[in-house]
Amino acid sequence: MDPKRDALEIEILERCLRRLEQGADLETLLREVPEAVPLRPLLETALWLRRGQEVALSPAARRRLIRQGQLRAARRAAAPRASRPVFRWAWALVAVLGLILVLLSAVGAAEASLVLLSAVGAAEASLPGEPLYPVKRAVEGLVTLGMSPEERALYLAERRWSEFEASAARGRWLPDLAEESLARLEEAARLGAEGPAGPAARLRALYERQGVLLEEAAAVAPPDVRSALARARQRWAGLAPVLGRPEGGIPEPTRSVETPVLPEPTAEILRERIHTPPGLEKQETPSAPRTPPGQEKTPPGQEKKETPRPVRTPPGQEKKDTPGPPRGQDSAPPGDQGPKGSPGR
Amino acid sequence: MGLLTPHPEERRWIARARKGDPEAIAALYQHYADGVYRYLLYRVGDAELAEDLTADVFLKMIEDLPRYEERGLPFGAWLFRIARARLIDHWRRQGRRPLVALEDTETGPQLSQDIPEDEIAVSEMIQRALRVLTEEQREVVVLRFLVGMSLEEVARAMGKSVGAVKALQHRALSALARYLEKIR
Repeated sequence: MDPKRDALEIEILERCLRRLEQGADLETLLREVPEAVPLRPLLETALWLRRGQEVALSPAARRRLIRQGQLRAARRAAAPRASRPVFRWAWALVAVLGLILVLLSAVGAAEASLVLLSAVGAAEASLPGEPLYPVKRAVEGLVTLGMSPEERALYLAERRWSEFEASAARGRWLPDLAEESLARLEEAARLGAEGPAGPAARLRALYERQGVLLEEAAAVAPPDVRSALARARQRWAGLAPVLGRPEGGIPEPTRSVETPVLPEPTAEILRERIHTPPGLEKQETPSAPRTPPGQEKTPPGQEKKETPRPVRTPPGQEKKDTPGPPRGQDSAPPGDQGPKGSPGR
Repeated sequence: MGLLTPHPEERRWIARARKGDPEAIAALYQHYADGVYRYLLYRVGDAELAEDLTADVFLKMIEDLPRYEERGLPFGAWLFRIARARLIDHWRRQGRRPLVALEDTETGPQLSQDIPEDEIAVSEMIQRALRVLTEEQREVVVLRFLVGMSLEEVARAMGKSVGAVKALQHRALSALARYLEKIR
């Protein structure tokens, strides 16, 4: 191979590719740039590859993705509001630990007290099933000693829900935590934590957080825990009257979104997605996508994006709609190619 | 539309999405989802998996959005970095190399294992053909011709010089043309 010739060919190829990108016709291009004629198979291959850009997410998959993202964003927005009050009890934890330390030091157990302090600190971030989790629960029992019953219930509801969220973020869905949090929430509401001050706002914030994640769980949790989580969601919806909300009230951020609740991705639906002919997908789209903010109309090219994901083309239609790979000098231009067979033939 | 092509309203969408605005989030998804999906589809060769990974990429985007600052890095490029990192993470977890040898893939792309060859759609034929390429050649072809990046964008994304990408592109197209000629 001649390196100089190779370098020249590489440059010519790139120039021709740019011309094709700008919409030039291959035959015209080859007439204008005769030195590119030996590159015809490469240019035809490039044109054939570009047909792969027609692949897009199916409308259903797109809606599902958007819905997931919106739920996640709503959860993010809700979480900081609800978690802040928890820190009000940090002083109590510190005070209890300090007291224990003083007592232990007094009896000459300084080393033991340091170990204990480290263990309690580490336990705070632990989750069910982890070695230090029982320590966390024990300390929690001490911290809540001085609280009123409704404050205690709300505090524990928030703690359990934070653990549920943290576990879910790692892909572990623990319905028992959800149930415990819901039970504590209900207890707090019934005990009268609905006054005009802080507790009512915390109750509402927690209730919203729970709703967002339980809805997401229905779509993404593994099948083995989905029914348990569905029961938790039912229980959550049933708490709405206790909290003075419309039953099953959905957190606000999702209310204005035109994304209907989607069915579970059953094998049947997946099969349908795979086998639907390209031209038919658009008919399934119920309505045009909602106009994004600040956008008067659908951006150019967006309509095309509603084309389906790669689908199997039914017999008979394939020859007409699906172009084959480039065929070299004797073949028709890629756009006109309707191979009678696939590359495998 | 290329993965890195910004929308005129993009900055406003990002600002609103940071605050959890569902419509702004939907707009960002609408604009970028197909590019990310295509990239992942042609890299993993499995539509279901590509869809799952695309969902992961956008959820990561939501998580990291408060930390995103436009300092010479367009939003699309930032999103693409997330997609690439997610892909590498996926391969690492699977414990296998991204490049699948042609002889190991006699069954063809996952969606079409039982479909006669004359019914294989273009995207599936492309996925099959891509398997003759080396990892770097494949990345160049996917980014340039299937995602729709410019040569310069590909070079930036891969951390290579434009000249190196041109050479890779030439070798990749030559290999694909030979493969297509052989199987015809």
